[in-house]
Amino acid sequence: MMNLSDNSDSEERFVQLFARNERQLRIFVRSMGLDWTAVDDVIQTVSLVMWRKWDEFEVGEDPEVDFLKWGRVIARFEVLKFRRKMARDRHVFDEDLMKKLAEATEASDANGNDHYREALAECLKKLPEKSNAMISAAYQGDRTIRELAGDIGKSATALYKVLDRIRKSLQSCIEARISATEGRGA
Amino acid sequence: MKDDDSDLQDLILGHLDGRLSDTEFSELQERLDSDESARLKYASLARLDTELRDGGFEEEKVIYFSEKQSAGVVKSPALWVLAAAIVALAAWVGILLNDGGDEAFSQAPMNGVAVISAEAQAIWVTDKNRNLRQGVALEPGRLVLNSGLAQIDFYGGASISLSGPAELELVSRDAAVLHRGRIKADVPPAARGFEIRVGEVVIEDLGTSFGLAADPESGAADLVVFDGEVRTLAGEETPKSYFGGDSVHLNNGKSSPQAMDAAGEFPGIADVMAGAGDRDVSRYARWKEASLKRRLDERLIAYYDFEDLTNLSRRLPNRAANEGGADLDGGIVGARVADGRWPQKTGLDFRLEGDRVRFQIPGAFDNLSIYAWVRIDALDRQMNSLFLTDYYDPQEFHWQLSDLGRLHFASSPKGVEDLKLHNRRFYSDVFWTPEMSGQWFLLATTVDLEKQKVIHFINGEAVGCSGGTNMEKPLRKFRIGGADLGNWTEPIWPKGQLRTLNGRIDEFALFDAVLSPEEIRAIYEIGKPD
Repeated sequence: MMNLSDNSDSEERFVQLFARNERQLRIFVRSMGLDWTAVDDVIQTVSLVMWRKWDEFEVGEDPEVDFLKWGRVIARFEVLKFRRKMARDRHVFDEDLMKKLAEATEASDANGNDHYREALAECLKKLPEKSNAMISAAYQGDRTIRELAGDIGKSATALYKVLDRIRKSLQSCIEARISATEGRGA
Repeated sequence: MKDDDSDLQDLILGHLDGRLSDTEFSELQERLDSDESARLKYASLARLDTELRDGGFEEEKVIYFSEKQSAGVVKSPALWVLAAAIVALAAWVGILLNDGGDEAFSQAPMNGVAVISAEAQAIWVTDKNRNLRQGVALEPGRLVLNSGLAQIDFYGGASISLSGPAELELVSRDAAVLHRGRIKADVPPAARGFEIRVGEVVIEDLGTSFGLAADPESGAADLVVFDGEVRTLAGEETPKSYFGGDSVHLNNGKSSPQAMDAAGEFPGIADVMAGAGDRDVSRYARWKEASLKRRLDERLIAYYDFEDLTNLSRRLPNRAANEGGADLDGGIVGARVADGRWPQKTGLDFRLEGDRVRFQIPGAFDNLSIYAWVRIDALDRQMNSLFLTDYYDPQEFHWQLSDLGRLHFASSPKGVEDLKLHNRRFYSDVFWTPEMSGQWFLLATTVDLEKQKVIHFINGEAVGCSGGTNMEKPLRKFRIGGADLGNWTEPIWPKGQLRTLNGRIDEFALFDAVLSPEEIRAIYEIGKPD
């Protein structure tokens, strides 16, 4: 029997846990090869399903890990369900590969990368200002690459090439930092 | 240089951005399916992509949640003001950008980024499906020049002379990687920002001329600026500028000044042209000798060598030594005298609606071989005339190119009567694509009435037949009568149909015989432009 206050506590806890894990879930869904519109749709559904089943969810020893694990089970199911609807869309991976990609995401998590965001922030700082501006324009702005390219009179292909170069250097910077951190046994 | 991992990352980022081609998508799916480390890479780049999009580098604040709105974080104000970002971007893009062009948006596949504009004793290392020579459009990829000199004009406007042995990787219309060998670059103001990478150093040209030599063993390079300004970028270090008269040795990201002549000679465009001139002279001389012999071939119906034409020429002489003589001379209408395969040789340029050479060739022929050296500039009509008899009377034939890039031969024993039932048409495989614009081809077709066999040849090689109509029905003796080279007089359909050739012709022959594949091959070998 829950009283009103328990109930609102419970809701607050869910909100907090979900918010804290939402990006991990978005990464998980994204890494199964969905485009952003699909990611947004699926995450919306996942949040509702989780909230509906929140009562059934039993919190284990580490609430966050378990919450994320539980969220991923639901997300995987929702992605595959979503996939069947959009199977004829362009460039959607087949179901088997989606499952394997989901495993890869979980596996890379298991290697422990708590320091990911720290590393990303550091690596972004190290980028030349102009590269930062490019990332910002590409990811934070409300204009598509194609529109940006039009603004500056270049082709989208050309702009993507620049963006690819920056993202690849970010990626190797992050990988280097994480392995260095892990190496220190921190 | 792209390694495997870099390729994979490009594919993954391309997929995340939703901009892969179908082929690339299949390649990615295959690699992910078969390789766990590739999947891990996908996972980590998807993570990076998500973190960047969701603002992963900022502290998140949980602000709201309700059942209607899924839980979310509110992003703090963006770190950068977008407008400023775009301005910075515009200024910068010109410098660092590998402009891949607009290939993603163009209708026809046009992947060329540069063209070989001149050669001197150039020996290329290529696989056998690739024929590197003057006029060939080059797609991104590696060029290996064993020896000799070649001039390569980038579509972005820069021009480089490459001295063999050398390995150059074309990246885009404005960028290349020099793996080994030496180049001299000439970069006009319009092509400012042209980049050459050597090792880890990017050399950016600011409208000038410079020489660069790369030694693959040591990874070192020599840079000599002849004129203007060149900037070097190594990693994220501050760019360094060099000016006319500067000469530096680049090694491991370090640069040390050296004497101007320490790096040796950098052959330039003039050297390529001079060398090319020698080669042209000998090529032309070889062809000329063979052409003089060809006149004596008794199987000829008529032979036109297009030699020694001037702007006053209105007659295209028949050079065949047998009986036809001057009666078979062609009449030049409109078409202008222009360079042929070599600067020493004349040819005719066909372009305008009226351009043609008129012929009147009587008689009936048991067999037929026909060849022409043609520079195809564009196939912009549905059908593009090589040699078309007027109208399409019984037993006449039409020899032309389709807009799809195929060579067509057609003849109908009944002329235009019920074309569907009687018209025999033979299409070659597609051999021409727009990248080949401006190249010379030996086009030939042989028709053997006894064996009822039509064979198309491109540059001396028989090519397959991609289709046609009524090909199994017998062909009969041929007639020509009034006919045009490069056009069509009296089109079948009342409103007419333009079939004007867009290109040049500098040799044309008709035989009442079936030339053997070896003979066609020999005509190509002796007459090929380089």
